[in-house]
Amino acid sequence: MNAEVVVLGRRISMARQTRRRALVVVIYAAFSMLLAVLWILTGWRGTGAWVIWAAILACRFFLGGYYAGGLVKPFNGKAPKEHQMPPSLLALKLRVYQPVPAGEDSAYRNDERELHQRDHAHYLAFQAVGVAVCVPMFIASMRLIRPSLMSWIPMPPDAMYYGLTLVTIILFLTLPQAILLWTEPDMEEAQS
Amino acid sequence: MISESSPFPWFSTARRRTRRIVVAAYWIVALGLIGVCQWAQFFRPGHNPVVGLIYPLQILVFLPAILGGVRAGGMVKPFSGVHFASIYDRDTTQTLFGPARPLVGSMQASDAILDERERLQRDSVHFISYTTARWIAFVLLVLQCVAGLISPAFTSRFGAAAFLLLALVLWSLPQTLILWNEPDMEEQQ
Repeated sequence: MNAEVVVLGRRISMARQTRRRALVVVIYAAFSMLLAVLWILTGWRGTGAWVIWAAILACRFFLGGYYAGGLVKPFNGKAPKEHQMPPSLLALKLRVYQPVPAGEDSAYRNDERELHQRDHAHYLAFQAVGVAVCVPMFIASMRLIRPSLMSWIPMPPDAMYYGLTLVTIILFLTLPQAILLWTEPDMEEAQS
Repeated sequence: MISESSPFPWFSTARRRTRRIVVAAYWIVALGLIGVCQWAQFFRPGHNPVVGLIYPLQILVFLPAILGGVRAGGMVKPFSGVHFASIYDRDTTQTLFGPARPLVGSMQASDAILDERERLQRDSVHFISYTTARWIAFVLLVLQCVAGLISPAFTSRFGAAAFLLLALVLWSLPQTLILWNEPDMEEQQ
């Protein structure tokens, strides 16, 4: 796991567990707000893909894991792609260009302990998503049994299923990294 | 990782071939139930208690009891161990008076705790399953979007089946991988 995250060119230390936990809370709060705002403005019609893009960007810049660039090392252990072209002017202006040090395997390759941590985080995330999926399962079943019981939900069923699928995919993309960031102790303490 | 107490008293699940047949039958039955549920939704939408209650219960309660993992009594040892001693110390002899003692769910004490190798195997299988389930969720989202282009009613009817399918994958894919890949238990000995 990396000890710092780069935001618009500024290096922010994430060695302390409390900071990482705060980051996880902020990210999930931002997702909740984004979903709520998009529902109010558009009813998620045509804007659901924005939520997926937001999750991918959160992984790319903060969480890592499935995408190179965040706090958690890439789960697949592959080195980030080396582009022959120089970074774009926009990336340089926004200061999001992150040079990858050549030949440093430890920046992206997981050792034995990290592989075990990765697998255990996925085990916990799998259990959590499995339980979470039971909620829409229950709602779908109740709608099949007696649709009038679900009439209090202030959204049409197609939008509800679509929104629940979006939430499920957000969890799929971010939960293992969030578990790793939440449970990893302070890095200074681990070194001492 | 394979439980020594088979849920099927009339045949052994020690051989991998037998386990693969059971797993294949499980998926055929489970996907068939989802297909029936979806068929009923399309042709008789709403007020369908049999499809709405019994089929999800069967998929989520009865069928995992065959594979195990999420609970004791199946072919795979329970992933999180067993924390109630009465479950594995149960005497399977039925008494004339008093409440009936369920046979399904009885297990041996060796199944109650996973050793280090089994825990690593469990976590590794869950990593593969999680990655697979993530792609399945993406495909279901795309299918929902396509269904939404046709009609909102189409999406609402497809949504129930999509979550049934996702729940089935989440509740049974790790056990399926373990049962499919674990070698014959005789060979191990």
